[in-house]
Amino acid sequence: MDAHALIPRILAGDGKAFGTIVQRYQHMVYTVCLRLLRNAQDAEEATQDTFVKAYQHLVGFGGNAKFSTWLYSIAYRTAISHGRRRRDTDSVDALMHHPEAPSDQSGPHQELRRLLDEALSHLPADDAAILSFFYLDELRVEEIVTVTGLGASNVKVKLHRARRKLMEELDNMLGPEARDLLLDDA
Amino acid sequence: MMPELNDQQLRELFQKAGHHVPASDLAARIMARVAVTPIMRPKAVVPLIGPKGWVGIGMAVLAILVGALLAGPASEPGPIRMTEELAGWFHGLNSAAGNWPLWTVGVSTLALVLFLVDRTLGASLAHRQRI
Repeated sequence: MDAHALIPRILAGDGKAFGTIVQRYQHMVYTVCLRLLRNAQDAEEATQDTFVKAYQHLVGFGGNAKFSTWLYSIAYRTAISHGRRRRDTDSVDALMHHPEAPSDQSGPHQELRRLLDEALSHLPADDAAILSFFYLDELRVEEIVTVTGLGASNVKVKLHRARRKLMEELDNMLGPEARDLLLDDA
Repeated sequence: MMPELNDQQLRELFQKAGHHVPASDLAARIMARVAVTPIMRPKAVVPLIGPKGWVGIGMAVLAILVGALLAGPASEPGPIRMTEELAGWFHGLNSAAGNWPLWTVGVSTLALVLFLVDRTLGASLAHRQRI
């Protein structure tokens, strides 16, 4: 059932309907948080906070935008906020140079994901998130603007720069032959 | 020189890698928190003066206007007979105002401004609650 159709039921007190939304969107939200925070535990906390905030403010969802875009914007802001709090307590240098690898390695293409994560970990976190929005979640530039609050030209520049950097990282990591194999696999 | 990955190839790469999978109990933890979290609902914005109040005020202003018009100035009694006490009150009002249409316009304008301020504040509060 579409999220828009579930919302009136949730507002009427049907908690199971919100459970359906959590099941449907938790992987998407978790991935955004993980790209931004690069730490599985922090990403899970941010994911929880995102859904709690979404539930609390469900009345404020106008229904004009896609539900996923609205949820992503909450996830993005929540993860950024978690990141700021963490930077207050951790060494920025340590976070910049030793990003923690994501913990889950499940799924049929786990090696592919590990390589992609490794390459993305060398990009600024928000650039990695924007690439993920664009290529994985297939958000349009205008939707990324809504989610991140950045200007359209800024998003386009970041996308262009991040794409180049990602390609460089993949080339450095894999070399031509291995990259060809990766492309065959993709 | 190696050819660069094009957009479609990058998209396929991301799609194959897919989303990350959180701990299996994450959904349960979220639902446990949601169970003790209330949904924030906007408070109903009730105007200070409701529609019936405005009708009452309008009728009262109209009655005073008509009364003042009919009572006329003290030197020239109006066409309608009314008690001396009421006529005296209207005469006093007309004398004090000097130019009664002017104070009528003033009072009506003030009422309209207060009405608009009331509605604007109410709409602004409702908007903030939606956000």
